Amino acid sequence: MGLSGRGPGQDPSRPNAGDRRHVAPPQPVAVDAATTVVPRPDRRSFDISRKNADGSQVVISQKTLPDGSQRLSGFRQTEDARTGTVNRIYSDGARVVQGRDFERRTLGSGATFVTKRDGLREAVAPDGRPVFQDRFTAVRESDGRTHQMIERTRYARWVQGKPQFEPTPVVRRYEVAQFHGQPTSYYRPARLPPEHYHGIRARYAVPVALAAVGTYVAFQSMSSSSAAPTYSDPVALMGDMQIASGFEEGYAYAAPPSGAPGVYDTPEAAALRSQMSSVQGEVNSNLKGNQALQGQLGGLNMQATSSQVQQSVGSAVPVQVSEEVREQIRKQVRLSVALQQNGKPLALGDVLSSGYARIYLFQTAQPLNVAGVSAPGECFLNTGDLIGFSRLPEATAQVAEMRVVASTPNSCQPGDVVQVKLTDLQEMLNGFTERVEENLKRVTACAAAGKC
Amino acid sequence: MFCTHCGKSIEADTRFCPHCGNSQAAGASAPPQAAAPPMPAMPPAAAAPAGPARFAPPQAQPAAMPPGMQAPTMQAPMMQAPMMQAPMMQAPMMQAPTMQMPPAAPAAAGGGMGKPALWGGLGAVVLALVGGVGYWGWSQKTAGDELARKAAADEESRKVAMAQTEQRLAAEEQKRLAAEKAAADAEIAAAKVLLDKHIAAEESAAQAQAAARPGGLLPPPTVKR
Repeated sequence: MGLSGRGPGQDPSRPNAGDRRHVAPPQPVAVDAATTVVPRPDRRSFDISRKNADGSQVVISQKTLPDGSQRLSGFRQTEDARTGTVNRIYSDGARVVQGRDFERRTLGSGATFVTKRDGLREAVAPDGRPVFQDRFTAVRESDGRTHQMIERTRYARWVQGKPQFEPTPVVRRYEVAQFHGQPTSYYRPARLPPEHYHGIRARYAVPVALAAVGTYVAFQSMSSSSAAPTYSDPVALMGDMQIASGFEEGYAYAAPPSGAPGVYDTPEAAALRSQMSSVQGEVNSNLKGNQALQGQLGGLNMQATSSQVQQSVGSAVPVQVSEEVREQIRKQVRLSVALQQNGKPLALGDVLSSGYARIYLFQTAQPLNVAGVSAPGECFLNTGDLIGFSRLPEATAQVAEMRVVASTPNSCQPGDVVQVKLTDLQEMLNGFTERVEENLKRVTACAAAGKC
Repeated sequence: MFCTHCGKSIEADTRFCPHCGNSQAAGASAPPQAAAPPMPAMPPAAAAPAGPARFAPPQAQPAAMPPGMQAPTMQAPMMQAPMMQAPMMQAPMMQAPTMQMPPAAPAAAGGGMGKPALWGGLGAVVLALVGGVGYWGWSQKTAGDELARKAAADEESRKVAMAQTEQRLAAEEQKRLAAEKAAADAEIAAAKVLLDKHIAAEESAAQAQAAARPGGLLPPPTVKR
């Protein structure tokens, strides 16, 4: 079987499901009256926290990655007690606003995603035009009863790094139900015309490349040296399309297309990077003359500079994906296509009770800030990142511990265990089904054009 | 006369030695030979003092002992065995070198056959004492060696037992890990089977639905030409 007791993407060096890697909170070390340094458990990474005179807080995080390279990031946080909002601006220009009943994320490209407490979501393009928007609607069933649904109108989709507006908005409906005490929306796919399903059952006489279906290879197979694989099996093509198009979209959200203005150069982001640099300098000079502090911090290397923030922005390197993960995604695509033909939603509750939840992979649909379990602090899940259960959630849990399986460089690292809300997991399942639907259409179009 | 026990000069007809308090009556003091194992009789030539003013030091005496008593077990225990320092044992050992021979001149002047015999008897007693003490020391040394060997053996067996326990624990841990891995393998294999079954069931339902719809069955998997 080749997996040797591991689920797809499970790190062999880490225990299987069921382990808890909660880490004791690290002790902050005061460098001066306003600045503390918090070493991370690996003793090679740390956070510097500085309280500013205006009440805002700057947090600088330096992480040492498994390959030894260092990544620097940071944010400035301000709180508005009157409105109950917490604002964070990140060193790459991204911004997160958490309100009492919403959370809004603006990414490097300027695209903004909003999630509301009632389950509605929306996305806005950098130019302010809506990409998609949810609203509640009442639907009358054949038995005469009406029930509430969420209707999502999609105006555009990201194609090769840019929002491409649909000639006619696409409307999708989501059933709403309470799951583990939270309003959760389930996408019930619409059946496509039969020719869409014919296309994935016939092998191609001439192998097809991903480029033929308008997808560039945003991932790299760990077991294949071929940079541009070709496919005779439509399911294999669909599987890799699913992975590649996810990462492609994630990269598009993270950085503006070349030449377009992004949020990296906004004055606030530039001011933050400048302050990060000066805070680092101050901490370094304090450490130089203070043996006791150096001892407390265990010789942390604080040499990374804020210039490294820039290096981590917009570097769309192919994501490493193992063969097991590709195989698993292929199977999930097959299942999704079959469910779509049968008009069934892909529901989290079904996955959890299926007996195969442990090997099931979730593809991040919309960018998320998530709390680390294996390491303290937060990290990001960007569109396309693949995660699997680290442990199955309890019956009443609202979050699940998930292990990152494959991710873009600016995301949580593969192997990290993070907490993800169950409503976000369901959104990932919805996104997966929708992506399969989109890709099915693209493959059908490719076949119709004689390219596949 | 001299005390038959401590050898110091005492008045004639004294019943008890004023120095050591022992009775001077014949057979009143039981010599340590009683405790000593049977030993070969000392040859008179060796037992009789050859005329030197003092006894040879005890260390020299073993030379006259039978070969079986001369081995290092004679001297080593006297120097090393802790039991040799017990007062009971030290007394004869410490006093023997200091025993004074009666002045030669009076002895010679006194003449008579009784004196040499007495000295010879005394010498034999002392030799027997020394031999007995030596044997006792040897036996103690042997017993000490036996104890040490037993302690070493105990220590060795304790170490072996510890090593065996560690090996057993390591083996159990390996077995536990292997069992966990096997369970995880089985769980994942079972999960894959369940996923495959679910896919097959949904695909077959989709086929059935497609067959029921206008347009007929989906085409079987074929290679496009």
